[in-house]
Amino acid sequence: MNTVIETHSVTHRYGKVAAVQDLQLSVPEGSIYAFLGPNGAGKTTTIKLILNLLQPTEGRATIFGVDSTRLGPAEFERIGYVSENQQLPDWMTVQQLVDFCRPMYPRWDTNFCSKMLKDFLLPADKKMKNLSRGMRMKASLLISLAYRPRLLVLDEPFTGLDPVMRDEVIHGILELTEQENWSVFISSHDIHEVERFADWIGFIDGGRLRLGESTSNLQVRFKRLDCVVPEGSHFASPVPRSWLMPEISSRSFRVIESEYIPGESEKRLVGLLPGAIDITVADLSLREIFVGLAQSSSNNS
Amino acid sequence: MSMAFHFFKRDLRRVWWLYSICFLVYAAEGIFTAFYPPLQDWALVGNALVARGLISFSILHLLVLVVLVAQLVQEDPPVGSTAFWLTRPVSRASLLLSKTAGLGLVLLIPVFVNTAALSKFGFSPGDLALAAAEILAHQCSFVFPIAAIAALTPNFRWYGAAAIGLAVGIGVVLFIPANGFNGGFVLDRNAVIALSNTRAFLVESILIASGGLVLAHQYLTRRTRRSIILAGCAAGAYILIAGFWPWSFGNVAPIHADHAPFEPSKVALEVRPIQLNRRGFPGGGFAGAVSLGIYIQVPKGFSGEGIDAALSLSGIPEDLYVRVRSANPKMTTPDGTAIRTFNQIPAGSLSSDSAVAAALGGIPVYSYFLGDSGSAVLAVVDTDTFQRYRDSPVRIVDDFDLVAERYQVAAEIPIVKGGQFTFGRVSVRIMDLVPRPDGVTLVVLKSTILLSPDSSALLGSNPSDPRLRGDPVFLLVNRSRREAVPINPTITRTGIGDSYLSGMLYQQNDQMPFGGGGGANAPVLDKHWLAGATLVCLERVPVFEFRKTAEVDLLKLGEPWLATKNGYEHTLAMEVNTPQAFSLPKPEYPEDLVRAGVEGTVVVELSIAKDGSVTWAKAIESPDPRLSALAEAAVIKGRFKPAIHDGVPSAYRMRIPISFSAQEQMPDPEGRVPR
Repeated sequence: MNTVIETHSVTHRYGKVAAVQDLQLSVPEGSIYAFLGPNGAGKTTTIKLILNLLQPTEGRATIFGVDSTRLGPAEFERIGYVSENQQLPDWMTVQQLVDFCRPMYPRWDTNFCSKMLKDFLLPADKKMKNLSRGMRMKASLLISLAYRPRLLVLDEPFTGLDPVMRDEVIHGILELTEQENWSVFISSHDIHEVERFADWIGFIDGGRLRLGESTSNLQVRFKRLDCVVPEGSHFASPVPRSWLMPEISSRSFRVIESEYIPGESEKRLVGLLPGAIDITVADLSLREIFVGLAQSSSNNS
Repeated sequence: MSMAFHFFKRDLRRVWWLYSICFLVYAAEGIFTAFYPPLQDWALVGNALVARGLISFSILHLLVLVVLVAQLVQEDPPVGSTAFWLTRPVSRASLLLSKTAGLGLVLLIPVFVNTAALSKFGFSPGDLALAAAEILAHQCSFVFPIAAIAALTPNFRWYGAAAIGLAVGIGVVLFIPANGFNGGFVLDRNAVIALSNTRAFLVESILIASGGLVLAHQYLTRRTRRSIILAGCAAGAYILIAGFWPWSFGNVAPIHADHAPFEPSKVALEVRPIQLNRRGFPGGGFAGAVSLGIYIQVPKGFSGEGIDAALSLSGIPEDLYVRVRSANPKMTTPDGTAIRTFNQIPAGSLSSDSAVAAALGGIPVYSYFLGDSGSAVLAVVDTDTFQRYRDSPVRIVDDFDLVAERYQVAAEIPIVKGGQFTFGRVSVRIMDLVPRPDGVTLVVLKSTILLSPDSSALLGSNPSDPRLRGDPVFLLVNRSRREAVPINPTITRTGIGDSYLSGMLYQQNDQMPFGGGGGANAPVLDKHWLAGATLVCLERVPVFEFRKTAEVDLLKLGEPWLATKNGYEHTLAMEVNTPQAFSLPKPEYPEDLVRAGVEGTVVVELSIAKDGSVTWAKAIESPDPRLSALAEAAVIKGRFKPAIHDGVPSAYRMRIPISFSAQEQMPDPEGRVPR
């Protein structure tokens, strides 16, 4: 499996505070990698480290196999970056912005750009500073897609977008990735935004990567177990670390098993809760997995 | 390269209006400088307005440049992690190149405009080229540091705060007592001499080099912390050199060796080192320089009025030509008592008059201020202070330079509108002749000195500055009437970014303020006087120079000079042997005056040279102008035994009364009274 982004034990500290710690990340080529985590988890810092906007305190990151600190024009011709943190030349009109960016990219696709301009309903003669937040994000997407980058890095691209506009943007990204087989690395604090199209999930919390794997793997690995237990049941021994958010009420028990093995996981449940009957195993949505992970790590911390 | 040009074009589109304002400000100033409007009767008001106008230009320069540079750099800031260019395929070197091109345009505007303005003044192409280079260097010393600040700050607010901090820091450094930022970046042919102000040269070099280096480092590496450390090192070097540079060669103290120390009785002269504050002496200034203090004892509460008269009575030998700058006129006695000082009596009013007069073939010069060049400190000390201080030893602990100078005519042109001459790197043009209702004709002149602006301090502090060829003196001279009037140069700096000092020289017959003297008695410069007059430029020529290691360990001040009710007359005998007349011709006394009963005593002030000849004479009290002329004509032919000081013949200034009695028809040659 080829990777477009890799980090090797990357750590970044702001003073004594570590925003990212020992990060091992691997983004496969052609994937739509959703980089999830609660606010302040280290998502933006990770992206900045990958794109050499910040330099790692320890470790190293590579993008297209090139060390992030050595990224140059040749690499940036293949990378599209959209972030609401990025400063745009507000004094330019949309058209001026397009005209300014075009000469930088040999592979700039004018027709594609015109099509997006039309599809996104962007007013070409309006100054950037007079655009709404969503429009600015669209304009930013426009100048990051028009040269058909091989890797699109999106940092919280949906923040502030209304649902309609969000769907439009998602639709655009999906359509493009299917056509071009681009890799997309998209950060978000809300799984709901990306669950429809992400095929890889990375979850970061407290600066550490909690998981990073394909959604199909996750859905095989994460299951919800429900069962009926005798009144007053309690655990025979400490619960395993793979159990997330175990809830026990008077006669029922529910838990998210993060290492589900058919048959084995049920046996382990019965072993820990003697008398457990009617065990049901249910698939989880990505959202449920994300919430489980988030709450679990919150409880642990 | 093409990407650099692409960004450069974008920047031009972004800040073209700021470039335009910048150009307009400089162009307006250039036009103002090149085509100075002739002044009318409101000359003085106009002069003041012009001075303020030029100051406004310099403030405008500053503001426009500060904003323009920030806009240029911070459009693509190399600091922070949110800049648009950071994730675009543009190399840092290209971006730096585009910014350098943008800054280059900023630098070229004043170079172009000022050089064009200067070309109006008849300077040679070579001088203009050098001036352009100086302007460029000066601009760089401002633009590069502020560009570096812009590159280290993420937005205009931070930039503004940092720039203000830098300005305050520089201000603090410049107030360090030992400091005096004079001189500047000079690319003159005779730069070696001009660069005697090594500190200023180094300071400017540091500003240019560190500004450029930090800017380049930040763009090429984006290692902001390291860039800040680099800037900090540069700031440290700046503080060390600008604030604590221990050597300065810009201040020379040309005192004739024969006269140091000098010990007359009624005036206490002190030769003392300036800038010994780190060694326990009061005052600031420069190590190695000396200043001459002239202490005149006066009653308490003395207002300063009449100091000129006191000086003329002092008997200071005329050839004690003093050119000293006082960096700090505040003085205290060794026991801490503050001495009241009247800052900077110009050398011109002390004794250089005679040198000027000698250059004009003996034509006496009415003493106006000759500018703020070479000065001594006049300290007025009340009796008690004087008594305490007079026995205090004053030591000279450093070397000092001694320079003797004389004047010679460098240029002379008729006084006609449009007349112009170039003297070294000084251009003088007669802009207009404006008759006033009171009969005086104002001669509106303009001098343009081809200097970088921060070299302006050299004007006074470095008499050997080759560009000025000895700090020229300008006079209006009527040789047939044997009268000369120095012109008061008003030197105004036109601020950051300009290359020259634009000065308006004008003559006025008004009373000059304290210290000038002679205004009331000066000739009325009406059209008749001016018709036969010329504009003369005198240059100072060093006669000899040497360096002396002074080891004077005790310089006692003179005996107390007891004040009388009028405050100026001394009652103790002079210790200097005063001149004695060998021959003093009788003045003519025409019969018509005798018959008309025109009589009385004319007090003539005269200067007697070492050889006993009278170098000039002027009636200062007279019952009738006709008697004045007769007395002067007689006295100028006199021969004296010169004054002897420490066994050495010395020049001397004194006054003698010449009596005209209609009855006796004879002046009394024995009645002279040394004053």
